Amino acid sequence: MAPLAYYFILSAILFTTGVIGVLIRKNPLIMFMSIELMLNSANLSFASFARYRNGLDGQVIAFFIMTVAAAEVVVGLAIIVSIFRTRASVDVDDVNTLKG
Amino acid sequence: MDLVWLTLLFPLLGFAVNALLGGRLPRRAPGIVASLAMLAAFAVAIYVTADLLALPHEQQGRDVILYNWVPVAGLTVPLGLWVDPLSALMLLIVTGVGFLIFVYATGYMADDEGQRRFFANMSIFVLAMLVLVLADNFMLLLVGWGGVGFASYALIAHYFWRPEAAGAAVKAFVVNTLGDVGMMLGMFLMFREFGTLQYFGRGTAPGVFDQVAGTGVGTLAAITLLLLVGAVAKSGQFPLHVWLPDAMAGPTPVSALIHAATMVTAGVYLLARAWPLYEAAPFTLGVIIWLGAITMVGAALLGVAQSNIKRVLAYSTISQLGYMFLAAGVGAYGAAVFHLMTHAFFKALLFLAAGVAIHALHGEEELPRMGGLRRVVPSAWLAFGVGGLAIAGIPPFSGFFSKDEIIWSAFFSARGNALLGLLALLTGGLTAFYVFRAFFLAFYGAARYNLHAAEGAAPGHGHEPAQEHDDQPGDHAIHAPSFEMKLPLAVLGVLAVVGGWALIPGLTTLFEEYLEPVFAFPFAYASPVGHAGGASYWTVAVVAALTGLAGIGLAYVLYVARPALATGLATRFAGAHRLLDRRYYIDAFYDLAFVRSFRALARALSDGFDRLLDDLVDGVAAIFREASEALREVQTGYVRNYALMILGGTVLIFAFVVFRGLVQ
Repeated sequence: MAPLAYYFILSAILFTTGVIGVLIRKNPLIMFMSIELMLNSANLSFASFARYRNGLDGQVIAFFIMTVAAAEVVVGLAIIVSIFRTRASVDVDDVNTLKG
Repeated sequence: MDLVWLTLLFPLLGFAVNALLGGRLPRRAPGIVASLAMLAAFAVAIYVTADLLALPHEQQGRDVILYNWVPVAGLTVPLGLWVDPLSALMLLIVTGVGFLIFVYATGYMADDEGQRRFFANMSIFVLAMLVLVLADNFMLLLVGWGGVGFASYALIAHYFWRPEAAGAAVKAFVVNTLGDVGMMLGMFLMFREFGTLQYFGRGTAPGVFDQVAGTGVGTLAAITLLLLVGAVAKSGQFPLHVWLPDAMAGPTPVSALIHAATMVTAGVYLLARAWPLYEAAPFTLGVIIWLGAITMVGAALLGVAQSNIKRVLAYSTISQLGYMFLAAGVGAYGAAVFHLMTHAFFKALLFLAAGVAIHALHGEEELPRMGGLRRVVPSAWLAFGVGGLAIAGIPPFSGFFSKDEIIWSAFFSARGNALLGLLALLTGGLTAFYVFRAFFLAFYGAARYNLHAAEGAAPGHGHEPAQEHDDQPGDHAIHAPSFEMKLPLAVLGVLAVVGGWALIPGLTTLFEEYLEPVFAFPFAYASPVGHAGGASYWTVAVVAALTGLAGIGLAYVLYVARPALATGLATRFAGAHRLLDRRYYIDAFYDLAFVRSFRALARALSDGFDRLLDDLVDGVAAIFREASEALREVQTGYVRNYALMILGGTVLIFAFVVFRGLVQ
């Protein structure tokens, strides 16, 4: 089995990719995918710890995160559809009504 | 006697019916309802008085307690009515003369749109006045005291759309309130000193008057002076007389009832009621004597120079009240009350007669625009003549007996002296002069009125503006007085003649005996101190009557026989005339000292202090506005900026936790 550090390095790379994706992309779908990436990097860390410590709690939390991620995507997509209906656009920079 | 509370109930009913149902009643109903209520109250007053007089003298003083009004620890104030000859006399005057004036008012105000309001206010006035005279303690007295002040305010402002009426009402209220404050302070001091506000003791608890002996002279002087402030304000004595002439802006029946016959005599009533207190405060008595004397002469002089017939009578009222104060001051309380009664008769008569003349001329009150009314309204001529002879002190009219009583007391009673007597005598002559000046100017000579121009022009006219449009274009005829206006004139005329016969020294002693239970020495000439030395009563009386006749004669010469002489005198003594015309500049002084200075102060506060407060509040608002102006830049509306901020925040928190872990 590969050393534990490798898993964390991979997890960190995935998380950073996700963060950069959220910050630089304008398409909300891509942003959602980036968020999924971040969540899954966290999943990877949890699963790695669980495997390392021979416990089950990390695995269980990974399942919880998947459920929450699925629910979050449902709500997010619903919002995006609603925005598209009113603005005929899904560019997040166009959604700036609350600009101060 | 236990039914005395009914006299309070009937005016209250008159008020309630007018105030609550008046709108649904026929047009003339408010006056009729209120008059009937007054008649009922008068009947009860007669019954109560008869009941009282049936008792032996030493028992003539009954406390009728209705219920316990203020039951707190250390202070018990009942709603109690004190019935003795003095309050019974006031009760009769208020309800009796009041009834006649109500009847008169139903005629005088017949065309007025505000009848319902007028009669409701008049009823509430009578109620308050009766509370004032019947109260058995100072607290309840103050309730009536304030009540009549309010009713007077409301009635002066009857024509409230006229600036001078509204201003006069406010002036009257402010000056009267000044007096109320003085009275209140006096009551506080009295309560601290005596522990009660009852006039007379009940059971074992002593009243105020029972505890006078043994109280410090200084304390008594303070109490009586503070009470005197109230009396001076209410009775229009110098220097708080300024509201009374202005109060003539109200309808004439109001002037007759409130500002001549009843309310303004409340101050005299208070002096008479609280005589045990005043007798124990010599300093206050001196103040009363000189205030009364100054007012008596000063107001009589002012009466000479007035051109408005109601103002002549207003200054005459002030002057006559000065007589009463003088009488009370020298210890002739009985004479003060006697003059109060006859004055109520003849002054109400004079006002009502003047009202007939004013009504006839569609509201004209200026003497220079009257003239020749003798043939036009003979009833007013006769009534004004009788009232004038009574006030001038011509025998056998009532004023002769009551006024001579006072002049004699001013000369020869214990505290009187020759100067006071001469002033009183001189004022008697002046009184005759100014009243007959008004009489001759109004009723003799050529007619100087113009009914077309006078229509609704002068204050005190019985029409509201809306009403004037109902008048036919050709309605410029004289308004003849109706029956309900003439009847009170007749009754009051008889009373003004015979009212004085209740006390003719050496002949009748009716009044003296009547008041005997109230005062220790009702009449100065009957008191042992006063009787020693001095001319006999009749010498004084004859001299006073001659002075009065001289005044009338002078008025006749100046205003009927040789009118040119009067104008000549006015121009020759232009300075004196101007001084009188401007009312000794007292009103101007008050205007400058209080009205203008307070306005200036208010303006300064609004420009300075108010501005400062405003700026403070605005400044706080501005700080938050500027801060949010700066902060709103953060809210860009771009999702990724927010995401970056979240990231930055997370990194900061993470760095903090790690850094702290490293340090430890």
